Parts: sequence; C-alpha cells; structure tokens
Amino acid sequence: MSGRAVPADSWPLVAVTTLYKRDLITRQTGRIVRSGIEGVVAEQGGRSLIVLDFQSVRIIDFSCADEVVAKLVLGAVEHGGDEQERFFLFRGIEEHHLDTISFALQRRDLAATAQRSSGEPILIGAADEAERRAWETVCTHRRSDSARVASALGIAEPSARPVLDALHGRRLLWRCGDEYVSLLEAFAMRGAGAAGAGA
Amino acid sequence: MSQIVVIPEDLNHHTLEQLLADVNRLSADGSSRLLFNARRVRWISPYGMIGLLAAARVAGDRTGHPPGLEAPELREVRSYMERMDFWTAAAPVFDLPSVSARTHADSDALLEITPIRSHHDVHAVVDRVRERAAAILEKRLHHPKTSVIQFSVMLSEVCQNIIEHAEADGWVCAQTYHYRERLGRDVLMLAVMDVGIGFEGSLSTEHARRTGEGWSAAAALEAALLRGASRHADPGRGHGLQAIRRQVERWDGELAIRSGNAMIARVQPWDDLPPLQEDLAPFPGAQILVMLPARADRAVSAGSGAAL
Repeated sequence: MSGRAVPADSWPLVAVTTLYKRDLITRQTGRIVRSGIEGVVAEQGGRSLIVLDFQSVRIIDFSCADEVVAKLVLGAVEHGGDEQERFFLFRGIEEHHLDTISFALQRRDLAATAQRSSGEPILIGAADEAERRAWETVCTHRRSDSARVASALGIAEPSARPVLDALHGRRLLWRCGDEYVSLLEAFAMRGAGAAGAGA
Repeated sequence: MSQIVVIPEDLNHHTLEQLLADVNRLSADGSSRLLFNARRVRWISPYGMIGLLAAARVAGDRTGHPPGLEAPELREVRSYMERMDFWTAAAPVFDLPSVSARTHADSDALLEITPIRSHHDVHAVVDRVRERAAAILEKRLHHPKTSVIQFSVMLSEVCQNIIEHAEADGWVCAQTYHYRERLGRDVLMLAVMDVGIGFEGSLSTEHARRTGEGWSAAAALEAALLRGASRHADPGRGHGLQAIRRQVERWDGELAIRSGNAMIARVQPWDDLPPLQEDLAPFPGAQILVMLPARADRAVSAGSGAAL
C-alpha cells in the first residue's frame, strides 16, 4: 500500500443507499428505484461515491438490473469532468444477483465494482484480462500507482497507465494524482458518517 | 346459429394449432357466433388452457360476441381446469353462466391461470409462486436451491413481455407433469400468452426497413430470440428473451415462441417441434411455452397431474 496520505477533502463524498425492496423485478420498478437513487446523486453534487446495498434484495431480474445497475453506471461513465465524477459501489452482492447484473452490464459493455457479503471485492461485467488483473492489484493493495500494477502484470510501466486510466474512466477505480484507489478503500476511508438513505 | 369449433381431445402445444386455424376460418367474416365444443377433451395442458382463452378473446373481438363453451364431460378434466382457475379467467372472454369463485386451498398447481395487465400483476405472480416453485424445482425436478431464483427471474421476464410489448392483456400459468411417454420424467410447463400486436408488429418500426421485403413474423422472432432485438433502440432492452433462452438451455429445457404465422423453438430430442415454422394459421399476439424437465441424473418420480 502506498504511503502517501490523501488530503481529506480529496476523497469523494459518500452516500449509502439500502435497497429495501426485496424483489427488484419489472422495468417499471427499476425505473422508480433508479429515479430515487439519481435523486440522492443529485443531492450529493461534486465528486461522489454512491454505495448501493443489495443485502436485502432477494431477486433482481434482467430488467431491473439494467435500470438499477447498468443505467446508473452508464450515467456515471458518461457524466462530467473531474470535479463532478461519480462512482458506484454495489455491496451485499450474492451469487443469485450476479447472473442478471453481469448480463445487464455486458449488454452495454460496462463493468461495475461490487462487494460480496463476505467482503470480497468483485468486478462484474465486461472487462478484459488486463483490466481485471490491474483492478485486482489495486484492490489487493487498496491503492496503487502504475509502477506497482505494471510489476504485477509483468508489463512496462508506460503500458500500465492507460489500463488504469481506462479503469478510472469506466468509474471502476478512483484516481488521486498518480495513485489509483479501489472504491472499497474510498468507502472505508470516507464511509464512516456518510449520509444514508433507503430505496 | 353458432358455428361449432371442436376442441381437440388432447389440447397441447401441438394440437392448439388446429384450434387456432379453426377459429381463424370460422370467424373470418365476423358474422357468426362461435361455440367451442370441449366435451370430448380428455387432457389439456397449461398451454392449451390459456390457448383456449386466447382463441376465445380473438373470436369475440372478430365476431362481436364472446363464444360459448361446452365444458369437458370428463370430471377429472373439469376438476383440473377448476383447480387451474380456468373458469374465473374464462368469464371475461366466453359467454358462460355465472362462475362461483374457487377456493385455492386444494390446488396443486404451481401457478393458476393469472391475467397479466400491469407490473403489479408480475410482482404478485412472482411472490405467489415462490414457495411452490421451491418445492417443485427442488423436490420434484431435483434442481438446486438457486433454481428458484432463476425460475422467478424467468417468470418475471416472460410476463413482462406482455406489458412491455403486447399492448394488450395476457395470461400466465404453470404446472408440473409426468411426461411419461416422451421423456419418462417430470416436466414443469410454463405458458404465457397475449393477443396483442405480436413480435412482427412490435419490432417493425425499428427493424423492418433493415430487412426490407424479407420482414415477417419468423424474421421478427429470430431477431428477438437470437439477436435480442427490441422495439426500443436502447441497447439495454430486448435481453429478456435471450436471457430466458440461455437459462432454458442450461436446464436442457424447451422454449417455443409463436407469433403471427410463425413459431421458433429451441427443441429437445424428446419433442418433435420443428425449430422454425412459417406457415401457421395467423394469430395475434405471442404465445410462449417453456418446458423444464427434471434432472436426468436423478431418480424419476411419477407425480400428480396428467401423464403424457
């Protein structure tokens, strides 16, 4: 783990939303839930990390996965410059969520950072081998620079940076100067005392 | 005087075609009342049952009069139809004497016939089948616990096709059978139907001009099932059927979708449906059949429901 401290005001603002609806099914339900989450995002302003907790979700169908996960990620990827970056972290993800969420993300050529109930970080959706390994390296160390990732991937450092920048552009890693930070780390550092909401 | 539509003795996904063709022929001029004669019916599948409802709705729309229905003479068939809530669903589409509400306590159905009109109905259906699906999928069909979630997702997606694409109401039902002669194993049959605009109508605005003169019901079915085409340009739409097909394949099941004058099917060796048919009697809407067999590597059970 890199030793450089990150200024407190550089961390993204964090909002945690617990999805209380146990059956996330039908596109109409998905639209309603997504609209609620987008309201939370709009309130945040600035650089933000929105954490969606799926622990209570018993079932999510493909239509809801598209609305509640894929479209939110798409909005984050397409949205704004550095000061308005938004990131999504999906927590409490279990096996029975993975199939539908992964399918919905892959349809749009997207990926998302998630965390199982066990705490294990997982990358869901469309990502190539280099991206996955780079992402895993950063998650393992919580934050890394391109030199560490290059070493882990067995490639030259100038080749690692574009991979990491792509992960940042896809909103899978947060970037602070020359360091790339896992979203779980950002949540851990900033998450205590974060605003909570239900959806 | 009413024209008689004779219901096949065994009304299933093969023989429904004859019923639809007869309804087409006899209601073509829109002048005659129809009477569906089901007295000789000896067996009826969930697909056949809601096919009967769909046929009645179309006949009523074309003639201006809901058709009459002569009930099956066989008590066990009438009893089965009652357990599947057929008569309640039939009341709006047939000209029937008043129907008393059935109590559900003695039903062994996985899912009685249920109208689908809104996403609230989809939520209610998924919620209702949860416990029954767990019992049937695990204990009768020997699928793992996770299959209940996968089945619920499939059920949600097929029902949503009605709301998102049909522009009309529809019905869903499901039951488990011992498929004795064709398979020698239990099978879960899920049937979903509507009499809306169909796949050709739903996809034509977005896709017909690309295909040109080759655009047809068969082309629309192929586009939807094999390529995930949707009436919406959004790339996130249209994945429901592809996902259903993928899940059915994982379970070595069968999926057939009929719309317009075509049917496309992902067929198993134990059924003799052709993978694509293009010369069927034209019929509105979409009619979807999913058949999920018990796992072959587990013991065969002879359960309730009719045997084929």
